[in-house]
Amino acid sequence: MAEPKQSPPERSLTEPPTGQVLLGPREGFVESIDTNVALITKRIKSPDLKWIKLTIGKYTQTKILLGYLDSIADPTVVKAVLSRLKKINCDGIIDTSYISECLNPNRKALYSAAASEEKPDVIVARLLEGRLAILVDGSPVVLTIPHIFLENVQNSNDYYSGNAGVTLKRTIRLIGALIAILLPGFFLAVSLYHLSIIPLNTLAAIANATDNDLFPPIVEMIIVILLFEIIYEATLVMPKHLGSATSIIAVFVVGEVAASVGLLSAPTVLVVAISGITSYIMPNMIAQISMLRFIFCLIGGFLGLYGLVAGFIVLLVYTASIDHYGAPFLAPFAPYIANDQKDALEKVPFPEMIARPQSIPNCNPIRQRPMEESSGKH
Amino acid sequence: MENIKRHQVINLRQLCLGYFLYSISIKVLTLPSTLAKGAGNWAWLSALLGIVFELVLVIVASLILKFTDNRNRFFRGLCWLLLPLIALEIILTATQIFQLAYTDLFTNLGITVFVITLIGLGMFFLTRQPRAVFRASEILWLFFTFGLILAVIPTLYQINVNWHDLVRGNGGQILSTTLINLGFFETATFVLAFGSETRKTNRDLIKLNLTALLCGIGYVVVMILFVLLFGSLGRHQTMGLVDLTTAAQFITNSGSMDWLIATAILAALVLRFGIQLVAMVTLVKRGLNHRD
Repeated sequence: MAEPKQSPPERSLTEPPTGQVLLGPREGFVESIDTNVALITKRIKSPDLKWIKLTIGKYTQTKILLGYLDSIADPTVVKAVLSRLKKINCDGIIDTSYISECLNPNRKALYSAAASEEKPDVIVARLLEGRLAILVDGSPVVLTIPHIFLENVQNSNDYYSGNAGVTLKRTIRLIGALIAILLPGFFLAVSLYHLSIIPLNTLAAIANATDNDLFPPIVEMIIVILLFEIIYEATLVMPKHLGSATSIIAVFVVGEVAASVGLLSAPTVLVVAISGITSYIMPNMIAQISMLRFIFCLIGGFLGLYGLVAGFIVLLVYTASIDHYGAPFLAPFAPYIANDQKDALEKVPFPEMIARPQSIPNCNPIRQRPMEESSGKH
Repeated sequence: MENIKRHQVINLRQLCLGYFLYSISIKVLTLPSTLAKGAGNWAWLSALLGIVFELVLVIVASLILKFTDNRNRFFRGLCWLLLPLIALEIILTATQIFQLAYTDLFTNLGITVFVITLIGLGMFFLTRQPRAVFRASEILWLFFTFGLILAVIPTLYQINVNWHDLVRGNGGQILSTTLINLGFFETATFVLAFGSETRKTNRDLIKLNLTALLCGIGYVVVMILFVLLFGSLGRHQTMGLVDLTTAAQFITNSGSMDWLIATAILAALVLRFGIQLVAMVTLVKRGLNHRD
């Protein structure tokens, strides 16, 4: 008996919870792949936009679309991604995250080979830079590949709200990520091994606050970090109206009561709170930042500043070694690419971004003609 | 496709920055007091002599890079010849890291050995991709320059010029101190190993030699500053700048900075250790004519 064919129900377009902007497009992707394609083709009308259709999943038969601009994207990257997608042979694909994991040449790599995005305007901007987009039916998240670290420093607001202060904001994001990863470890290292660095008044304040500590500093720090992670995980799955209640409990019980009865010291709670808040500065890297924070906390606690510095150098060299699909992960900082500095920490006005970023492999290096030259021809 | 290939090799900028970091880590951060122990007030002349030797060797290395194919027998033979030198330097650097960690931080021998092993394992793991270390140097040089400024600027405020200090004392130890302490063979090996990734033009080689010259001048200036500031440097027993800078006294009201400088020195040593390991692996690869 044949099942009656019905078009599946669809969610209306809303602004996604990630990547909200003050000024700028607010449309977000939905779970229907056809709607998502329409949102992209609404913005790119050129026939250069190519879609390769694949069906993956023995039982789910999930429709996957690989999109790219034919005259911009590097054919070797298209070929490499396509060949990797064709190798996937599984029961089913439920979400783009399944594809993202399959695309990573090194399964144990800390960083993902593809970036996730929920907004069509961002996907279009990335396609125009030579990246590829992967859409999965049933997922409101679209992958772009290759993925570099700089994408986490850039934000849609940088492009829609003028150039003023963009450099400062991007620098703050970068510093924020460093604080999120290193601050608990640095605090432990300084308070356990290098007390002479701390100014005398601050040292006295810390000594007063940690005088009656129940646990050794490193154990206390691990407890507070674990509590923070538990609260974060609970808030994620909890109904929205209960989320605020959890926050109140977290603030008053953990922050106030635990510190006042001497279970946890106030400086440790403060350090983890600062580190926790700053970890949200890069939404796509929260998992990595959490893991690195924990590792550096242990390094700082056991090996002091020396261990922290050595660990940071090893992390930097490891991160610099990553090349997914021809794009160095730390480009355009390492390797330094002068042309791409126009939209790295600094952002020049759009008319000055003549060349396409070289950090992303592409076969069409010029993005636009200089305005003087264009206007002179009219 | 062209830009993909360009990022897969160590380029000239990375080589020059790597050289800067390497020479800073060897010389400015770790050697002043070692030289001073040998040559006393003449340490600056010992440094100058070492720089001259080094420049000559870097120029020779540059010429080898220019006129020799890095696949021929001569080049491969040279790589095997330099291998024991760099292996010896690796042992020396590991000893220095051990000394610094053991005397300045972990009085516990077990923890110190654990730290050194961790650093060694981490660095050995990373030797598989020499370009990664050089890419990282494009970021690290900023931190090192900042650390150096932090160490030198407070010192300049307290400098007490006495030019006679520069020529006082026994100069008999100058040459031996230079030969023992300055790793100029090591630096030439560095240039040969990593410079052979791509063919160098005359302009590239001039830039490389200029970098070597500027780093050398910078080092001699630093040495003169320290002799002028501290008179007989020989009395200082610890390594590098830790006791030589006045940063510790300068920040008396807001916490001492000497640990930060000691940390910068360790970072320099760790980086140097990493580069030496990578250089050794690269030399073996070149010696075996292995294609990257």
